[in-house]
Amino acid sequence: MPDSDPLFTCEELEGGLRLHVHRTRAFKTVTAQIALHAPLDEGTAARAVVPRVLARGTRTLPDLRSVQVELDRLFGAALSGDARKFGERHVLHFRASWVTDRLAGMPLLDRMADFVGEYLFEPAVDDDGTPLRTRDIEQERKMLADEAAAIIDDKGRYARFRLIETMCSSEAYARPAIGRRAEIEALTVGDVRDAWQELVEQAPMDLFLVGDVEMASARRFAQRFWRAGNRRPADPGPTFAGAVPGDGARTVREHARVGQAKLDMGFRTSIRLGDPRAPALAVFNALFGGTPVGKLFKIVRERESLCYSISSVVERTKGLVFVHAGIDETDFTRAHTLILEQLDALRAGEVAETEMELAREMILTGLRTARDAPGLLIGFALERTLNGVAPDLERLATAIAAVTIDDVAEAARTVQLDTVFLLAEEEAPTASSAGNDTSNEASDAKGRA
Amino acid sequence: MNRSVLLDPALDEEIHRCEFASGLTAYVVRKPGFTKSYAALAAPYGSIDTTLRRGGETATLLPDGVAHFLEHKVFETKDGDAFDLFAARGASANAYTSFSSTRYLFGSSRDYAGNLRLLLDTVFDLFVTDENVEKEKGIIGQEIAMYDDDPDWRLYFGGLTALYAHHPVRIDIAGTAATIAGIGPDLLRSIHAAYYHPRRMVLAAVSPDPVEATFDTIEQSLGGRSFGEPAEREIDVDEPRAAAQAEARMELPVARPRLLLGFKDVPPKAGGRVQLRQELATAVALDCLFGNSGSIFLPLYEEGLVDEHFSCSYEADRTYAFGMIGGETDDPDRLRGRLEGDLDCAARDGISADDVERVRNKEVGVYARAFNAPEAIANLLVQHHLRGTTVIDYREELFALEAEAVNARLRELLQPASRACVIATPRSGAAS
Repeated sequence: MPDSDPLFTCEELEGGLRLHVHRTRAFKTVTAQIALHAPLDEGTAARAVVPRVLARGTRTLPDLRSVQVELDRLFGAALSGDARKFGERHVLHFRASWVTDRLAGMPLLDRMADFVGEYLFEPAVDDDGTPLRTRDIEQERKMLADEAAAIIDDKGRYARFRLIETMCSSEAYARPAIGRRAEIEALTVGDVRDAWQELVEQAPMDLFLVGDVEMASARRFAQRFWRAGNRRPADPGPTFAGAVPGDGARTVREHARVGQAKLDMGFRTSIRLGDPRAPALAVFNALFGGTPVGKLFKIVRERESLCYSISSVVERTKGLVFVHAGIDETDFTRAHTLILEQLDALRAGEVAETEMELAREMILTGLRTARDAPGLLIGFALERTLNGVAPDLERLATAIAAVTIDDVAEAARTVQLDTVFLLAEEEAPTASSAGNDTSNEASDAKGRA
Repeated sequence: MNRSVLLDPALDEEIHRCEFASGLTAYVVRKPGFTKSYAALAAPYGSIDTTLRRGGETATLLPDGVAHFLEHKVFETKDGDAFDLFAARGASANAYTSFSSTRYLFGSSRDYAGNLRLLLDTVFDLFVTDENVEKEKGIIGQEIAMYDDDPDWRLYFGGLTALYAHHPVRIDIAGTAATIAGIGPDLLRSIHAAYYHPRRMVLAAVSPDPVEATFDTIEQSLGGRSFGEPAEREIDVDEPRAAAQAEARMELPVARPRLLLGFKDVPPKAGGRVQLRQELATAVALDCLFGNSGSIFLPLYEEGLVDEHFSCSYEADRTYAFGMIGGETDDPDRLRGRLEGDLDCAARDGISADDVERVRNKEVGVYARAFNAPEAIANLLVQHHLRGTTVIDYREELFALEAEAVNARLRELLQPASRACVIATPRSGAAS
């Protein structure tokens, strides 16, 4: 195994801030990404409103226009935030990027540090000095609720959302990163202010910097933006809070006005990030539906012409595998059967050496080029960091290259079907002999054994 | 081989250009700080090319969606699926068809020259059979069905059909299940021979490898091939200046109403710098009004009439040009009234020199940012070539742009008769 090559130089600062720096001259920009950690719990919706309200103004740039005009002036700098989830962890995510000092012809690093600090810690206030303006909170809460309602507009996204909601109904993971629609609608102005206060005072924070920034400048950036004050970092809870698998396969059908049916299948695996078998699961996914060399693409799309869009993805923190396919609803049984047959083939190790080679190469190509995009680099490091795994591209590449067909088969055998969700226009035969037809309501029915 | 170098001193980048005996033009930027190599090969042949004529023949009418269909088939080679061949060489490949061009591309982490040769072989050696063409119809049929369920796509084409009476930009890029049903291998072969001709095409590559790696590979790959006569683009449409319809309404399975306001613009027939100037002035104008700090967008956002997904776009080619703005709203009729009123004011009062200056400043950063990513650099070079400009023209035009030109552009773009409004309302029972 080659020497480990740490992608980021890390330092722990006072008050729960972890600084991660990757110095490179490859980019014309510097990127700063901030992750604030909390559990994916009933406070999720209130926290998700916070980045939206923070965008509405700061102490010295008190409205949306002054914030955006300032960003324009700083040579089109970007600064925004959103809410994400990794397993049962809620992460508020802020991203800033700006052109290098050389291109700007002026020092932007200190200016951006002050800007980002004020954006997070010194928001615009009500007339009485209360931070986070009431009007902004009310509007942003409404817009977030609209966003939650509009999820049905994107049928592919909606099918995935409903699959997760059904499959993980008794787990915290079922909650979307923006919270549930009813939770958002029920928020008070005070809830959102409290959420901001808690984040600012208690949430552990990671700051990632990528660009031509030496460690001393990175520390100065951190010190300028960071208000350590009396921070008492709180435990954001585990990223994986256990699994409640279904007792077999559930098939849920739902009707909507769609021309194309969406077939979404949810599987569970005991392999999560940090597990020594995680590289084998990655190769498994590349062979299954994660790449165009995988069996789903080759068999279900190219050989059978059943679909245009078909793929599988792994949620590595929680240990989930999702398959998505856009099909004609009359092909449901055929597609369902074919997808499970591909999984069975992988479990039995029915993989040609050439397929294996292609799948490994696809992953290695991704790993080798991850350094070429600041967003990919930080995404890779964040997902690993919060799962307690060192973000080491070289070590992972070595592990991927060593994965054998037996390893893939073993990983495939951990992948168990949990729930099937079909969004379709009309009633069509299901793969399950007792597949219940429900409208907007999940039901348990025995599916394929 | 005819070589030259363009320098962008501000960005510290060198753009190498070469015209080959085969007629192909290629651009290369060397990026030693990157692992990835990326190359895009493009033909100015897209969904708006609805006829085919070579030499003295009479023009044949082509079925809707055939450019996109051909794009799908190009990635099938006599040695198997091109995705696999690229993957085996540490690369991943993709392709896109737009109104006016088709692009094939790959990003690789090793064996750059091998992948580039593969890209050229894949694009120039078409392998179609009755069987593999037939098989593709099911796949594309599902692609069409997927887009039919996409409300943004439906609204966008609702806008285009309201704006254009005849121009083929109003036709969906993938066609319909019915229009692609009759496509066979012979048709694809004759289109391929006529439109995928190196004299019409451009390649742009970004790689840590020396510039010669690209140029030598192209020379070796294309040097031994012979090509017939290329087809010239013939889009002869008598399209009126005014919008075909001022208003259209549709029902869609969405939770909230959506509104789209389209602007049919004068096409920049001459292409080149004329087109660049038009695109740039329009982009600056629209950014001043609808960008993140836009004077029309922000008040609407603060009132809650639009959300952050409200978007604005502009597209121009030699035979068409249009702008689109729109998004979700609770009250499409009120939003429409507000937008129409605000646009009339903007056309009348104009945009201030300060605003133009600010957006220009921002553009400097946006342009520099493109050079962060090999994909973005290559696509920028392709886009410039197809237009007939260079990145140096872009810089010159950006700094020469004055508020008066921006405002003249705005008045032309916002002519009331050339606007169309499409409103989509939720179909009852669509949302939970």
